[in-house]
Amino acid sequence: MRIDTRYFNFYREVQRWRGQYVKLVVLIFSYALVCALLAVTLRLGDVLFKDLPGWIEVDNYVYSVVRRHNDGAVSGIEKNAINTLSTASQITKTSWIWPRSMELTKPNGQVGNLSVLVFSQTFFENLAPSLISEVQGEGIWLSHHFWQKNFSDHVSVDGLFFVHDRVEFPIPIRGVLPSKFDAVGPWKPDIWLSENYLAYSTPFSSKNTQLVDRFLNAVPEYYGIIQADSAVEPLALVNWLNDSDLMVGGIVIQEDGAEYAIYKNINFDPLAKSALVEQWTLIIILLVLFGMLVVINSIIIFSAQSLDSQAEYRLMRILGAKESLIFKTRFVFALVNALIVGVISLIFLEILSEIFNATPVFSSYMNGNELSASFTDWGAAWLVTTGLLLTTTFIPLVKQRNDSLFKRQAVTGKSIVRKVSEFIMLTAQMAIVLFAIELCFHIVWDQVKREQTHVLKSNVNTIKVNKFGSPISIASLRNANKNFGTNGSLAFSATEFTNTHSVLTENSVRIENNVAKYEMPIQVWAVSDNFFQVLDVPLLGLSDRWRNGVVINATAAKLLSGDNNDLLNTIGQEIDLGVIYGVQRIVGIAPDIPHQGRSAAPRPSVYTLLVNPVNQFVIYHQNSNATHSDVMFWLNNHVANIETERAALQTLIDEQDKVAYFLMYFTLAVSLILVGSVVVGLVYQIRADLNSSKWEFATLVAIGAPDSWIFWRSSAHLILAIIVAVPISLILLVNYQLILTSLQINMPQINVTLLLSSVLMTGAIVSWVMYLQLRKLVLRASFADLR
Amino acid sequence: MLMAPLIAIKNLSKSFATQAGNVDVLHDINLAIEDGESIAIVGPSGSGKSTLLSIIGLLETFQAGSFQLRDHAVDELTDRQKRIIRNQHIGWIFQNFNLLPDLTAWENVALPLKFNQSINRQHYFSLALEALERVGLIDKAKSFPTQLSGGQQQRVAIARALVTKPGLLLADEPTGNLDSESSKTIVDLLTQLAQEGSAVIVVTHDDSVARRCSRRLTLNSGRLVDEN
Repeated sequence: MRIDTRYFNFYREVQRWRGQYVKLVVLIFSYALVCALLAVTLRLGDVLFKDLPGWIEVDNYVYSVVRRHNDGAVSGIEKNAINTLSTASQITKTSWIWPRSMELTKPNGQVGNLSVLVFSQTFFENLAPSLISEVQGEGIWLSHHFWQKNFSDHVSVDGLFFVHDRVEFPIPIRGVLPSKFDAVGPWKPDIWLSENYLAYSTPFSSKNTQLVDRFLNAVPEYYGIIQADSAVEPLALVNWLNDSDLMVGGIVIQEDGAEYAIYKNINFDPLAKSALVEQWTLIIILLVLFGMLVVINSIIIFSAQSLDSQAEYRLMRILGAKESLIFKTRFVFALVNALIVGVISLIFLEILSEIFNATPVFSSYMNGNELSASFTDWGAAWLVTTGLLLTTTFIPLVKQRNDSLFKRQAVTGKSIVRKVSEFIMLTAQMAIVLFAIELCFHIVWDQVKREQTHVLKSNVNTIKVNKFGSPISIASLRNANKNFGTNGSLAFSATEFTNTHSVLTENSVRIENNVAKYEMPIQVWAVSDNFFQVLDVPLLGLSDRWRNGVVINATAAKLLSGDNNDLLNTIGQEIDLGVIYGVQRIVGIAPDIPHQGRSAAPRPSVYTLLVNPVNQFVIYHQNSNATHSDVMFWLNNHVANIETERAALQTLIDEQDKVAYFLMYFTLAVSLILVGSVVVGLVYQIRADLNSSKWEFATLVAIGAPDSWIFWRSSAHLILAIIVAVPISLILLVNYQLILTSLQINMPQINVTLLLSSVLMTGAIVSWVMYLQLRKLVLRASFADLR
Repeated sequence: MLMAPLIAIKNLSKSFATQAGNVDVLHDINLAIEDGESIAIVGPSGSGKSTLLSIIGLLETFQAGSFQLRDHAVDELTDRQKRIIRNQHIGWIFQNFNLLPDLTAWENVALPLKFNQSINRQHYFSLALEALERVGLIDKAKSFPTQLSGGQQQRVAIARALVTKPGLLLADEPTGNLDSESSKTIVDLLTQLAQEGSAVIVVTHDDSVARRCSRRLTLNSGRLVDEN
């Protein structure tokens, strides 16, 4: 009879896991998740720090030139500065884009406010040379998405044109750009317009070429893109630009405090990028924590298995088995596991990429482009994961190899090094589980608190109105209310509810007689006098109708009241809101309205009375007082030439909360996985630990030790590990909070009750795991354990 | 008034449930042991010696028969009562010594005293040292088990067994891991303890140990086949 021994050792290795297949599956899935997370982190790193966007066809050094404001937002620079940069020695090419909105009459005669990207003549030549032949001359090029939406039923766009009221001739549509040009930087233009039409958009007559040229050279609206054959030092170039004479004769543009900034690659939205970098950092932290946990868990699991098979290996070695055979079998088995890990990690990678593509921060930064998996990044991640898997497999085996072949039964104690390393591993596990539970508690608590303190009712609806042509007066808007049964059921604001562009960073705010003379950036909303009534928000200090002065929010009141802490003290004080709004008297205090979402830290805000005629405004109404169709009926009959957009107020707020919610739920999910992994790891570690000293506990039972004493002796190191883990987890939590704060996500201050609850919860989980194992292994110890 | 015998076992039977069904390990055991007796339990492997010892030591239960430990019906005792009896009236000696490796010799010896609430903490040290002195290891009081030889470890284990001055000493193969000289010292100690009034029950394969005992019980397939 012939016996095939080729796979015998491998099958023996598989059999070794009999009854523990769940453990093996958990291990494989954990490594697969580590692999996928690592691959996504590497890919995201490429996107953030290395990759150029898909619409750029060249591979030389590309930089973005902008002006950076105090709050981190950026805006365009002067054309003059771009022309100056083209003379710098390292710079080989320069081009620019000017994003703006323009009121244009479409080929079908409909007037629309379109998102336009004006581009320099050199733009396509420098950055997308393959399109030179298609993008030549003057006119409009439709972006692919706009074409699909509005012109897909046209056989050709040739002969079609747009009309602008300041351009005396029609502007021809010259073609449709590929879809990769649908999004450039943070903009998603409807149309691309050649630069010559800018001459018609200045405050001067297009015929006055000298003035027009000067204006266009001086106005800071151009987003520059410069290219070089070698790496450029951005700071040196900025200094060189600052030293250059950028004055344009006869034109003075008021300084706004912004400074030139040059970023590597295309980066016209550094705030979104920094948010993404923070998110990337967060993933790295989670990856490191999770990776540590998986490594610790696998060392524990493989060590426990090695102990189980110790006798068998010793016997094999005594019988003369080659050591290489033992190692080879383990190696092959680990390699097969690594291959399975690789396959599963691809599925995880796909899921993680989908999650990222659905993340608002990411899609805002990538402007609709998707995060695609890279084979190189995945390969690198798989190699690292495989390395970890092999190392953790072999550490216990190498240790076992050093064991003596002949052992007599004797009392053996653990070495100090082993005790310390075991304790460090245990503490790391405890710190991670504590951190994860603390985080979960804070997230859940934050959510509950936010829901409880949410000041807005859910039945408020908004209609965003864009009126073309002459603006509408406030009196007309007020009259609108008379058309509805309840007077005052419609409220108005001049800017969108969630608008953040109205932040007046250059304006300082002072209160007379206030010692602190507090200066702060503040957001200003111009709203109708019944704004707070319609939103059903209670006001402090304003009992009558709001006729003059401003209302501030609670955050502004807290900052303005300084050390006093008496918010009402701010009522009656004067506030300097700069050139546009002037000095105003504070007449009331509103609670913090979540303009930037409930998850965002409230910012100081001021509400002024809406007095000037407006082209763009928002109508607010409660469903109980006026229906959408009633309001639309009035609008269509009384306000001509409008575009409207309807949204529930709650939806607008939820939209703002998307990023924070994504991060919160992502963190919650990862935290729960961490807790689950630690609990599984602990079960095996405690079981292995108790198994190895079962005789010790059986002895204690035999000599009459009470159960509590046995429990204490077996769990003292766990309790000590929890105590040591508390400050470590606090450090992790504080750092995590700092990251969230930098993302402008509001996380409640670290709460002592929640921390204590987390410690108790961790203690309860550990005690429960301990008790189950102890009851099973020790308190029911048999006489055989004593022998 | 006559005192009840230390151990009175009548028609005791014990079986274990296995996958293949119930396996009987002890059948109809009848046994009476008085104070000061030294008894050797001998027999082939698997005959039920250790099971009988663990029942006598209140570590295992039995299915049939009765077991009277002095005035106590063992099957009526609670777990807590059994623990207290094990702690105060029974001393255990094992083949593998079973000393806790992270405790010194005297701490190991003092361990049973810690579980006895009626003993003052201040007396632990002196009682433990007294026990160590009896086994001739006073100079090794602060040594850890790993620093002691096999024979010394077993003497520390005996000191731990006798520190509470128990009426019953149970030894499971006490000389199984020892050389002949150490074995002789251990058997001398056990004999001496029996002479001082404690009942000593020893499970052994070693005929020289069995010969030093006042009675020898032979077990075969769970039955008491011979007593002399």
